[in-house]
Amino acid sequence: MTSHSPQLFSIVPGSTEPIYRQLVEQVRRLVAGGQLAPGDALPSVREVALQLAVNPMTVSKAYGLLELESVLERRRGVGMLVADRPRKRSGEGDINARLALLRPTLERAAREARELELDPDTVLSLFKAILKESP
Amino acid sequence: MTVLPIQMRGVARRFGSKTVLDGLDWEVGPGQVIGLLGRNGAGKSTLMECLLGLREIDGGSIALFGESPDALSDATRARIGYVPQKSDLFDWMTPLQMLDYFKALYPRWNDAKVEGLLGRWGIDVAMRNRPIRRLSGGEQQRLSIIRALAHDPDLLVLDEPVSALDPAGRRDFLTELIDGVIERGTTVVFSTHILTDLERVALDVAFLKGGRIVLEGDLDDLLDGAAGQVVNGVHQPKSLEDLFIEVTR
Amino acid sequence: MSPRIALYGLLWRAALAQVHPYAHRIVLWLTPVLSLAAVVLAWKVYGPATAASWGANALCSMTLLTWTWGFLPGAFKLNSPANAQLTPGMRARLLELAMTVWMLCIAGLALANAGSPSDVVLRVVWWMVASLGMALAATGNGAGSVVILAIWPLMGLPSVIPDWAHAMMAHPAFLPLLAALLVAPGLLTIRTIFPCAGDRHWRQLEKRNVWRDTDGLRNREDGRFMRWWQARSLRRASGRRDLGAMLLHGGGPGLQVGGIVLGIAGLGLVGLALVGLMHLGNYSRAAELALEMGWMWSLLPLILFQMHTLMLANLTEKPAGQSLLRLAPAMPATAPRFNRLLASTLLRSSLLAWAMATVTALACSILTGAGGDEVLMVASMCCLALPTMILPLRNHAHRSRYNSVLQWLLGLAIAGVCLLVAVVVRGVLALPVFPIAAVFSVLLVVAMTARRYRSMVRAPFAFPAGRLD
Repeated sequence: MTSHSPQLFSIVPGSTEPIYRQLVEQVRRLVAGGQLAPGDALPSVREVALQLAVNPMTVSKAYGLLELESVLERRRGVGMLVADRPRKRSGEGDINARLALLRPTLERAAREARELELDPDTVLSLFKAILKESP
Repeated sequence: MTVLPIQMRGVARRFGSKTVLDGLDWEVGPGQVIGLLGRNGAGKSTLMECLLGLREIDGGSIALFGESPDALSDATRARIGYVPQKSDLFDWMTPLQMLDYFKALYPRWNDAKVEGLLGRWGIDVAMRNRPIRRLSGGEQQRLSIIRALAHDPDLLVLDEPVSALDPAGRRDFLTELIDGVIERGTTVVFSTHILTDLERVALDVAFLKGGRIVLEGDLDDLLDGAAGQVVNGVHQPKSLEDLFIEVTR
Repeated sequence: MSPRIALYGLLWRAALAQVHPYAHRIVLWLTPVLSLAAVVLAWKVYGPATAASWGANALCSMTLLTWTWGFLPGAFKLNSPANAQLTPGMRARLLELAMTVWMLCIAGLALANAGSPSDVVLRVVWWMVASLGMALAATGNGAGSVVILAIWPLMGLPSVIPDWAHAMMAHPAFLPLLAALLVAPGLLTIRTIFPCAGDRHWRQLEKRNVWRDTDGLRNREDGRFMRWWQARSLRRASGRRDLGAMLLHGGGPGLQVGGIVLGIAGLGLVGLALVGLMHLGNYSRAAELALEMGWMWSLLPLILFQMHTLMLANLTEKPAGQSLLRLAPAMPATAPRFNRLLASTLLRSSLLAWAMATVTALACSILTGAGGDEVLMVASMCCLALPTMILPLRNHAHRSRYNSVLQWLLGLAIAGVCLLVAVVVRGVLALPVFPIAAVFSVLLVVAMTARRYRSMVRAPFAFPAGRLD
């Protein structure tokens, strides 16, 4: 079990997303990507608040939401730990969850494509090419 | 039932023929961290001054911890901290003399916090013995904030407290606000034009327009609500800046 | 020492520190020394009883002076609206301290002088009431000058007080009774001086016209008439391309000589009107009164002249002068030309003010029936007031080391030197003192003006881009 430093997180104030939601998304991405392994201890609310210069209630709200979603769990005396989730390599629910994580980024890309007045087929072929070339 | 730190009902204030506050109702509960937003000249400073009893009101009632501002008891006064927009320090004294002066008047004074803040915020020994009028605007503003925080107030009213500070100074101030003030459950009311700072720290915002609080609520909810607007079938997310411009139009 | 007393000490020191960082210590040592000197002097000359009263008088008077001109302006600044409203107990302690010190002084004066002859009592009464007037004036309240003007007859015209009043004053219980009666007005005055936030407080801050107060970067708002007059004179100066006058306009409101000239003329007219009223009213002793009043009144224009020169001398300290400092670029090549323009403008302005003051003073004296001797005396006083004219001719690029009070004292010192020399001359040549002093004063002023003019022209550019402090 590793405990992580508050430098794990970063936020962009002034964006269109509330800060608590940015934190929630970040944790979900880190868990899905494996940087936060099940059983890892997350930094305390106070540490994160001081590091990012945000209100502790915001951090606490983000942690609370993640706890409700069973991404994190609260352990007395230790703090917030990443929940043990059964890693289903292939499963409908897991795929859907991961797709849902990708959705905001794709929506942003779609918006930009519309602004650039590119038709969907051209965009999709570009996306396929990019997916093929990345390691 | 806990006493509300701030309770304003139907407050009106006129300057000559111009009505600055017009039947304003506002309540701030204990432990709330609320940001006051409004255009230049909307009356934010006037609101704060009337709130604390620095200016009379032409109508309505105000209650600070249950007491009217023109009859504040000394105990309530010791629970309030105020940082005005234009620094109000005694510029012929040195910072140390000024802090000693206020220490003698306030019942509660946190020496350790003052020492720590003076050290962390770059007010070194040479500066501490120089008359305040020789300090730069940013240093004076930092000193103003230290003086307001030094007696551990229960209600902190800040009127553009970081307008003269550089980004590092603002970050220091936010850190202190989170660490020393919000942790203790202090009620904080502050106005600023730097929306990113507000977003980090404030949980609630209130928009002042036309002499009234036109919109008030949890910041995240307001942003989520604004983002929920669907235009042309696409979600139009809004930042706090967009929300501000739209509400105070 | 109880914490309350320690707090009072802290407040007193903090308020005095506004005048000068060492003011408290100076006062603390000077007051007992001077009182002791007064006691010793009186003992040797008059005897122990008078010595005690002289000592008490000296002590109370010095404390009262410190209280008025040292403590109150500083305390007024300490009592800013935010502090008065939000700092627990501060305003209450300041009120208590101010009231206590004043009452102790007044009580001391009353007890020390109870039972003295009536002319002494008259002066003590004046001093007691004037202390309140001066307190109001020292904190920028307009009512102060009204009070002082109203009680002027007590000091200047003892003959106007009827005889039964004189008899009453000689009674030993009069002064203590008067002191007790003054408690209520005193309390009222002090509560006016220390307002507790609110609109009146903010207005008072804006109107502060303690003219030797150089901090607080706000320009005073003149009345409507003065603004109209200044706008008109600016238009005329711009139309005529009168560079000197335009420069003075740039230096801020109130520097133009027009205002002072109007003020002096106004004073003269008011004095003459009062005398005329007295003659019309067929007051039997009008002639004597006119003589006494004309004497006092003719000195007032000179004070205005000195105020004007002091303002010119501290041209760059005023808020608008600060703007000139910051906006004017450094122009080393044309510095002598610019300085010459500034010097001649300042000189012209001071001379005009002095001429006006002298003419008014002499006219008032002659028209109120003063004889040749008195007119000569008035003329000599006018010449003795001239030395302050040299004060504006200095190196404006450097901040002056002395504040305006010290500069004024320098002007007075030069007059004092002339007087001393004249006394010596009288001892040697048996010539009258004041005319000789006047002649010396004029000669000295001419010499010093020439020298300072030359040095001002040689000095760096009067408004350097960065002040040479």
